Amino acid sequence: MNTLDAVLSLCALLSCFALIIGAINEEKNNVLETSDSIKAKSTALSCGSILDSMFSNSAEEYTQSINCKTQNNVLSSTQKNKTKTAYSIANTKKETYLEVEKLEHYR
Amino acid sequence: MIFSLDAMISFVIVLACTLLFVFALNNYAQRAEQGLKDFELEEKALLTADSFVKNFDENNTIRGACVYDAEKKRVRTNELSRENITKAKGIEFGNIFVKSITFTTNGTPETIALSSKKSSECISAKRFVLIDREKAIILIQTCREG
Repeated sequence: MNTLDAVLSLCALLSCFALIIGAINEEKNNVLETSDSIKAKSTALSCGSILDSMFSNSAEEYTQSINCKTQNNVLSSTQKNKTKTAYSIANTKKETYLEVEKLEHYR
Repeated sequence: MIFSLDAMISFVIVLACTLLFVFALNNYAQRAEQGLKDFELEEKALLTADSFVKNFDENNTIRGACVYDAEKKRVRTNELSRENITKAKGIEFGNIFVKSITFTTNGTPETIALSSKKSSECISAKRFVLIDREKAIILIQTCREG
C-alpha cells in the first residue's frame, strides 16, 4: 500500500513538474514577445522624438543609422515579427533614413 | 500517507511561487508598456510646444506660430503673433491630439479650443513668450483620446 502511495505521489509530482515547465515556457514566450513589442515601440518613439526635435530646432537630416521606416508623419519599427508605429509632428522626406521637410522660410 | 501530504504541500508551494513569478513578470511588462505610453504623451506635449514657439508654418500654425522676419528670412523664436495663434488648427498623432491653447497677456487668459474629443489623460506645456511684443504665458494642452 505504501509503495502504491509513493508511485502515485511520484506520478503527481512529475505531472505537476510538466505543468509548471509548460507554464513557465509559455510565459517565457509571452515575455519575449512583449519584449520585442517594447523594443519596437521604443525604437519607433526614438525616431519620432528625433524627428520632432529636428523639426523644432530647424535641423534637416539625421545621419546615424536607426531602424525605422517612415511615411509622412508615421514611423514604424519592426523587431522579429512585431511592428509598432509612432507619429511625428513633421512630415518626412525619405523612407529609409530620417530627414524632415524644410519649411519655406528656411529654403 | 505522510509522504503524499508532504508532496502535495510542496506542489502547492511550488505552484504558488510560480504564480507569483508570473504575476511579477506581467506586472513588469505592464509597467514598461505604461511607461512608453506616458513617454509618448509627454514627448508630444513638450515638442509640440517647442515647435509652436520656435517655428512658423503657414499651413497649420500649431506646428509653428512665430513671427516671420522677411528681411532676415528667419523666424523670430519665442515671438508670436495673436493672428498666428488664432489660425492654429487641430493636430493628431494616433490617439494623441492637441486639445487647446491658452495664452495670458496682461493677466487675461484666452483659450482656443482645437478639439472637442473626449480625453482621458492630458499634459500641459507652459512657455514664456512675446505675443505682439507683449510678455505672455502660453499653455498648450495635449491629451490622449478616451
